[in-house]
Amino acid sequence: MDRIIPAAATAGSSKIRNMEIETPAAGSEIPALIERIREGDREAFMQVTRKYQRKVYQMAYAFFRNHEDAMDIVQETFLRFYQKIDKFQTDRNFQNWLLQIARNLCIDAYRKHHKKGTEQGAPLHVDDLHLADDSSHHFGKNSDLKAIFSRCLEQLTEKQRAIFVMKHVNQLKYIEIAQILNVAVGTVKSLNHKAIRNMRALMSPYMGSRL
Amino acid sequence: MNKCRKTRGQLPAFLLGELKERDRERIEAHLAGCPRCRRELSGMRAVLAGADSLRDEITGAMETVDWDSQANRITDRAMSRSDGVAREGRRIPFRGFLFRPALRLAAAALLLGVILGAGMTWLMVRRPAPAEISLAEQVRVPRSVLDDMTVEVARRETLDYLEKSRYLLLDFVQASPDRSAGFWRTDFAARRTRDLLSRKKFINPQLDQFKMAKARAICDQIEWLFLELTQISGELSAAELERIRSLIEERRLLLKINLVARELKDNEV
Repeated sequence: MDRIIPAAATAGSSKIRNMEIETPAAGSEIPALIERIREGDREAFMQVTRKYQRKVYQMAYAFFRNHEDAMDIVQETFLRFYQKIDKFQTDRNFQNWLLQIARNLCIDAYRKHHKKGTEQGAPLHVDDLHLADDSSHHFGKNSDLKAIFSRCLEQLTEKQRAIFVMKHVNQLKYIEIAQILNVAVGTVKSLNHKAIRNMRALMSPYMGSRL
Repeated sequence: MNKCRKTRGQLPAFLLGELKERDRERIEAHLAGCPRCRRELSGMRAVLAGADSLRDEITGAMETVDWDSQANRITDRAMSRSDGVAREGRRIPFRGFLFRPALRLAAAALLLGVILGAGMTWLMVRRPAPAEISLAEQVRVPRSVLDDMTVEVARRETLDYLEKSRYLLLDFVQASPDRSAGFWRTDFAARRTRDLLSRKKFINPQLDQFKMAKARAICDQIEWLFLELTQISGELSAAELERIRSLIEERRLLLKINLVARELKDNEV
């Protein structure tokens, strides 16, 4: 058998280069910008928005799988940031603080609209459980990995989904996620592993002979 | 079997390259001889591939946005909102305003009035200190913790409902037809069924409120079956007994209950 190599060791870095990871140098200008924004400097606010709006969008899009909702969250996050700017302590990691705002907004919006919509609008019938041994009835109906993935992601608990998205879509580090969610790093790690196991269990009936 | 269970527990960490060298080697050795665990691993790879595809989708969607205009619009809105509205946490120079010369006398009179009023009120309404303090008055719990607790309660209620329903349904599948028919004619069975039907009404809103659509669907099926039973249990004929039994088997209700219960157990908050 060929040597089995963990995905992390082989994953291409092409995806990573799409994500803007905040380096200490990049983040060091933030206290000065924040100070200027507090004094009402429009240009400083726009600079911060320009720098972080994609990061917020990535998180919101992964949460809702919808461009319009993601754009609404981006706008609302920066308006909220401006509103709360005096509460920001400059020794904190700005990106994490901002993503915490975004994450809370995502959850609020989801609770308000989406959850109701998805559960009442398209109720999941028990026959959609796709038991492992009657899989032949279901395979091939929805073979698109993206659609399957998306549907299963919806079924994770809020916390597991948030962690899975931040880790594997936003590619944040465990410590960053822990700061955003205000939980211990070990908790993030174990919930991430749990989320992968649950996703695998949820996806397996749809994947059939591919797995 | 134990090795498999231990290995599967560590597969996510293995896949993400988070294991120590020794553990990694142990898992590699196990995987080399265990096709089921290899299948589990490739399933998890598919999960990560799904995350990759979502990331690609996001990258594609991001390319359609004019981010400079977007930043401009957001800035305009933020700045227009801030006109005349104090930002949260901004300190208003209250002391300076209060102690300006014109208001000093009025402020002093107001302060004196407040102190005297507070003193009088205290004298009038003071009561002996309560022997114990209500927990609800003292404890401040973050909203997220309360939310988690509510989800956890709903999860446990549902699990309990599924477990109890499973025991009742097992009678149809495992007991002999005579014994099963006899059992369903008893008051105990009727009471149990009615009890589970009313519990279902209680958990319905929780199942709807939280993301428990699958549990809701399976609980609905159980409820429907119990309703049928309450209507016919007094005179359960062999034919009806067989019909219910085959319904349970055809729909693989017990298996589905097990699967949903396991999923609920795994998704512990």
